[in-house]
Amino acid sequence: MTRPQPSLSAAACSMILALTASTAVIHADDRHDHDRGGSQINLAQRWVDAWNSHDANAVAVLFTRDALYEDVSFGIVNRGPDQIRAFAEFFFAAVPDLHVNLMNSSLTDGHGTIEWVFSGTDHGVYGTGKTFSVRGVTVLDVRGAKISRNSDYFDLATILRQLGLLPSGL
Amino acid sequence: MTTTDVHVVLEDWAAAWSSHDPERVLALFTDDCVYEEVTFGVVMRGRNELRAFAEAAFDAVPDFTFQLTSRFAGDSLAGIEWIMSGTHQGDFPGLPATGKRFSGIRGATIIEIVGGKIRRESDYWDAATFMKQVGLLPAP
Repeated sequence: MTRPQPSLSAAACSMILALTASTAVIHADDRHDHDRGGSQINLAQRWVDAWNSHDANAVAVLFTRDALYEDVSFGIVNRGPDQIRAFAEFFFAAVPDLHVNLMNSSLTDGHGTIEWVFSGTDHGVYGTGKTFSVRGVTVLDVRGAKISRNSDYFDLATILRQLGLLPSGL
Repeated sequence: MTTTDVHVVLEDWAAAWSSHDPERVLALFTDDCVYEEVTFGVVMRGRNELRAFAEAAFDAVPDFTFQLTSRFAGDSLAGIEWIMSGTHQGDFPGLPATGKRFSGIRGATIIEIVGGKIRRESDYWDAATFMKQVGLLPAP
């Protein structure tokens, strides 16, 4: 990312290694894809619960096999459950007390949003050992009961400021 | 209010912010609106506060453009994703004017519409991306 945060490059490298190392996994059929209605209503809660479980498989299983997961602020793009699992594993290791609080959600006709607060202690993203808390929103496209597109928006500057990584005054 | 009506409001939102006319922005909102600029951590309540915010935003970036990349109308909330561009000619909160151009800044906004007007809006975007583009942070 930026020069003042050298450890992110290391973190990003580990993630890329993890992604490269991940082998093809045969997934169970997306058999809930046609299970409309109730499961869509609960999808926002399931998304939050999966992140709070610290189980990368619980995160990956929410997504279709061709899903796109973008972290817009970090500029990370993951495609498919394997890359999404590696992405989740990276954050569970880097932020061991990662927690997501659900604020609001809306899901209608295959499109939706989840507003949340993401907090934790930075051990492996920038290696500061400091805590942060940031509000954000996830925009979802949903096919059946699974997520086909997930775009996370939040202010990375808020996190950098809380970790003491922004120049003073910014 | 039909889904089509909601989409008209969402399109008007991008057109109003790209028009640089605070009154056109205000016309979209209810009298008791709550507008959260989550990134800057500021909340405007009611039309007077929103007018001051829009005027300050257009002073800071006289050539704002907002392009919608997605929009949807839900049962209770609507959402848009957008791309913001402009020239940083005046101060933003904590971000002194640089005179530099920024472009392609992605964000998302959650909107609650009541009676055809916006009662609640929350904007989410990344100021670090903006800071890098205008030279306030080292570019990657």
